[in-house]
Amino acid sequence: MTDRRPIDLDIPVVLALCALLAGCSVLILFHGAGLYRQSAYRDNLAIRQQTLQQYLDVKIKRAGTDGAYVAVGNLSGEIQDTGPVLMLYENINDTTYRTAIYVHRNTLYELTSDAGLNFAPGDGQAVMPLSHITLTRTGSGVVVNAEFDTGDRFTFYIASLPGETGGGRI
Amino acid sequence: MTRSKAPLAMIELLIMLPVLAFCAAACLQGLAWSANQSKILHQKQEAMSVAVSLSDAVRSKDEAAFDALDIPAALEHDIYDYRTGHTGLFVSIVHSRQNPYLLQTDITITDKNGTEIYAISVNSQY
Repeated sequence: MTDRRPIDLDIPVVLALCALLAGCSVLILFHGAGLYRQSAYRDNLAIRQQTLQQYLDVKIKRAGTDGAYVAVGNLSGEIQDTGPVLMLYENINDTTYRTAIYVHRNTLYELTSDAGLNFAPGDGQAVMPLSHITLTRTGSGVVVNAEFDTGDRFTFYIASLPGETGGGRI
Repeated sequence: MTRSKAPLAMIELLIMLPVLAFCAAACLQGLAWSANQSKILHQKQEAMSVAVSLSDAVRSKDEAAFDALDIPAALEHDIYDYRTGHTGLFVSIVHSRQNPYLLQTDITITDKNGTEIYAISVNSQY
């Protein structure tokens, strides 16, 4: 009778269990990271949307007081129905000042200057990252179409304060 | 003679596996819960943004704004239900006249299951 040595399965089983443990841990880690990334992305987008809406809301509503007015135009300063620049005009000590809010190189800028002066893209204060903005003048407000660098689009409407409408301006 | 320590390690691993499974389940549940909370929060923020835009449009009676927001003719209907094109949320606008001069507009934003996410009431001059 041949003397057979029993096969020792303990070590392969231990190694397989170790591999299973490691595999499960990595899987959980990846799944958790995916969930966190999704959640962080949504939170970041929500903050940006809220910031943009509130920022423009304050600007437009404030411009409805003390004879100031809001217009939409292009970078040359021409007033149009639809354009990439929000222009807020106000009169201080008989001088008209214009605050232009526009997008240049994925950044939203704000520039306040004498209304007669031209401005070059990039002038002013960088406010927040934004890829594209299109503003449309309606009867008594502005519809804002914004696009973030993530490709997410966001549309909202802001009415100016009553009593500042007409005359081709909001 | 030295005895193999493999069976001991295997028992240890067999005990560890359920422990890991339990911990993993707890971790995943926590993560899923927080992801769900973030989703709800985001949906609420979107609903709030739509509601604020609509309340501005109702207050200023700006029909062009409704068109631009993909919610046409909401000023003309007493009850208006519409799914917004941008967010997939459902908008319900109900006008009710409080007196000859005052119009109350209730704007309710719901999800696809009809669960209310955000509601706002706007009074405007009729």
